[in-house]
Amino acid sequence: MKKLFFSLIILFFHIILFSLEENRTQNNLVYFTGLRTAYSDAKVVFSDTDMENSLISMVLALEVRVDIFDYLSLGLIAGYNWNHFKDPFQATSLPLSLEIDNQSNNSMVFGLNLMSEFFSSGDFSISARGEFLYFKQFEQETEINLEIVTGSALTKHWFYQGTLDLVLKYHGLNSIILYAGPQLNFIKGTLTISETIEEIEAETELKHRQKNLLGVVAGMVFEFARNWEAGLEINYFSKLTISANVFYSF
Amino acid sequence: MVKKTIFLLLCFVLTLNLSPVLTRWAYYHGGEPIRSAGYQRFVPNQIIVKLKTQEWGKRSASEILQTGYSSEIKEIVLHSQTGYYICHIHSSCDSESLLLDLRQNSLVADASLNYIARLASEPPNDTFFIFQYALYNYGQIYFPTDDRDGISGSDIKALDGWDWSTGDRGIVIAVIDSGVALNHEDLMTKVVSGYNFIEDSVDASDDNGHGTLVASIAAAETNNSIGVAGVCWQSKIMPIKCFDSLGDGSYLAIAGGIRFAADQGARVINMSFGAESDSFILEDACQYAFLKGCVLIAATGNDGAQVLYPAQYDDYCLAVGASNASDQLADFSNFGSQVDVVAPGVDVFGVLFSPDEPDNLQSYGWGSGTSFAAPHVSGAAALLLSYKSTLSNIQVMSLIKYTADDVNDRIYPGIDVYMGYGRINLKTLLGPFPLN
Repeated sequence: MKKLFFSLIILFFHIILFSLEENRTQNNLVYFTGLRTAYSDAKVVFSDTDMENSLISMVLALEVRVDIFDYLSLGLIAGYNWNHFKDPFQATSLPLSLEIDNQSNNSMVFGLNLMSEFFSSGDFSISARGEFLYFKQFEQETEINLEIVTGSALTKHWFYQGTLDLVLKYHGLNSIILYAGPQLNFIKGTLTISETIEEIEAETELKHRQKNLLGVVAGMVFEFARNWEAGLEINYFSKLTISANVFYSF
Repeated sequence: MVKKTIFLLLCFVLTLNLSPVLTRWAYYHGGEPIRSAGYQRFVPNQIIVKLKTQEWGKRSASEILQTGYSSEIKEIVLHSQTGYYICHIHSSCDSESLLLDLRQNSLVADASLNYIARLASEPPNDTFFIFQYALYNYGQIYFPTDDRDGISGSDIKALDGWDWSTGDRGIVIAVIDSGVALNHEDLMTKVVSGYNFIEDSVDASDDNGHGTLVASIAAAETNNSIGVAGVCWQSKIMPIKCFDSLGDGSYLAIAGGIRFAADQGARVINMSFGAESDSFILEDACQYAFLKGCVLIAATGNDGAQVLYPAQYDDYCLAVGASNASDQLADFSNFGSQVDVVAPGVDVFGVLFSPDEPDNLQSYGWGSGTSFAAPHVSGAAALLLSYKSTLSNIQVMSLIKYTADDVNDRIYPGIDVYMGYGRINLKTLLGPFPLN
């Protein structure tokens, strides 16, 4: 699976570089700045135990996008995210097993994306898009209140998400672009849980990765009021994501 | 047009998101009362049907079925996850005869009652488990001759603990005592080679009865449809005979036994004995075993006075007092700052062996004393080590204390000289502690 993933990344950059080579004339840069929000529900598997769970995340971020050429744009993303695991899960390798249920993590998210519309014919075009998001580590300390003694548990969670899309776009409608296509998605992260109860100190690491990597993406972009555009997108199968964005170009 | 599209998309996503929640709610709250039919329980007034075909002519097969059995079946509902049909039948209808009838129907591939499965935390099937209030106390009469009962919940929460571990055959509990009845029906498969430090031989047979009862409480053969349940189902017992038929054992013999147990790989050493005098002979042996990684469990004594040795060796031993079936301190249980925890030690049921009847290997009965509280803790230590084999002896001893229930908190909140940290709790010791 790793080989497939890296092959697709190489193919993706090859497509972009190939397009760059074909179109050396540089246009004026067009900047977009906007707000994007996304709700995501992805099935993940904890490596050691094969235990399944769902990682729910909400992202609210600012994105600055630059259309370097007609066919290539680069975006930088920074914002905030709220995430939690849907089902309770247990850290049984600690001396005192702990059950974590509905613990919400809030942290910054950073990322970048690259999009290339490398082929077009009539009302249709094909576009490739790659995005990487890093969800910064979040730490939360919780008290362990046993009947006689009190301890504490420290949970740390970070993860990243990589996405590669290949979509067919339809430009035939007035001010609306529709698109759909396959998507490769990859979430990987680590949850570190440490406990301290009197003289007992221990730590365990639970690594998780996304269960289903291949999915589909579909969405639409509306252009309105000259410099504005809004987008709505849905991903399914590999994970369920609904995202919306609004951009202003200048 | 755009608004409508967005609305439809949102509805689609919300439906996808909510469907598992709705299913879960229905699962937990939608159940009907359950009645018992012999050994196998089933959901009343329900028959599950697998149809051969979904349609018959222009009508759905379920519709035809409902029309045909209108006096018996109230409603037929498709169970979407399985594709089977739930026939809700009238309460006056005999479900078993309807079941036979449905199986003969040409539309029906098979029909079944909606049977109820059991969780793993059902009690073990040992004959006398009902008398073992120490493991599971629901207020039952545990001593029938006197109609003695206790307070529900005054137990070590063994059923909940066994959901996480029933032990491991690789974990050995050494019982430093009067030996063990090696051929008793509820112990013979559990005993590994031990040693007799009284006669300096390999025959560690019991000639007193004390050691046999102690061993059975810690690790009798469990879920074998006979006798009693041990705290740790799987662990082995290493009989170390250091006490004679009168119940006396010299410090030198005991020290030899403790060192032998540690050298032979026992992870837990049960010491259901005590004496008033401190001596380097005993302390050095405890230190030796402790440094070898053994968990040492010692009874505090039955004089209602200060804690005896070796339980007084606080650095090396976990001192165990006795509680009763109402989670109160037994009046004989010794006290002092060395007391770490308590476990049931009044009218504890287990294997009885009488040297006067050496061939009676099917006898069971009650015993009282901190001697019989300690093996509950030894069994708990063995369960924890079975589940988490990498824990050190210090961690095991600490966790047993920290996860205890402060059952006398109304009179003596916190750690006290009577019950220490409290009565041990296997649910908290082995199960996950919820972080919220």
